[in-house]
Amino acid sequence: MATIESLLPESTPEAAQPGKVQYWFACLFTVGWAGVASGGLLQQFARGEHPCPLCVVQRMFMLLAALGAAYIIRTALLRGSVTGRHYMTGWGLVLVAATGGSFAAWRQTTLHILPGAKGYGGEVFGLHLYVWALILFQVSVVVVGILLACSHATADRGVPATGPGPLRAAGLFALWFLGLVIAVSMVAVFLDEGFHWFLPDAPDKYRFFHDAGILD
Amino acid sequence: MDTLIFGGLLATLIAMYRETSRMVVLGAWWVMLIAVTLLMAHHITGGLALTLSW
Repeated sequence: MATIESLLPESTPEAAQPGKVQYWFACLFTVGWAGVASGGLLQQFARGEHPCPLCVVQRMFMLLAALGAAYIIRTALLRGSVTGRHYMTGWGLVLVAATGGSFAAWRQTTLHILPGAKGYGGEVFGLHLYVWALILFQVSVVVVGILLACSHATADRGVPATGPGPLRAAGLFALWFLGLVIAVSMVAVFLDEGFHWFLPDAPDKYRFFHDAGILD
Repeated sequence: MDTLIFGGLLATLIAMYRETSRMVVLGAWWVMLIAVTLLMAHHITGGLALTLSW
């Protein structure tokens, strides 16, 4: 006679099943936005370009979007399962942050829209960073929309990430990488801002070092 | 302000990493969103109308 235990699968489902797509994408999304924010940091440190206040605001929205996806990862790491409500909460946070970031990037883009305007900072692949930010925020919205529309196939409840394995390793890597980027961003902006409340419109020096008399 | 907000974002992530309750994690996220939005509003000093004429 079949017992309920014999009806349940003995082995855990493979990590690469289509039903885990949203979890894997949450990892990719978190690392991706943290990577984009670290690209801005690279531009700052390698090329010596200080971010303007709206650039920093866009970085904050990027990290808020990454934290939305991180919420899904966190749920899987702690519980080993992600319900539809958790997926929707995470992606909802992402959509709100991406919309806010789009607005900030659009605003900065329109500040330099007049013919002949040089724009703020250098270009990467022919576009200024805030234009890239606008494009990537909008792409995020579309991709998350597609993902939500395909939830029946991509949003399994069971995401066994509580024990060792690729699911847990990927989730932990995403969270730690995001934490590293946020921490470096915090230090970088502190050096730019010093003990002032706000950044100047066009920062040209590290005000902390300037105020401390270490650099001019 | 910017430094404090990044500190808040880091604190939100730490709350996520630890077994903090869902309400605290989500509450922290929304507080950070409001803070970032207010900071953005502070830095947008002109009108939003483009008034382009070409």
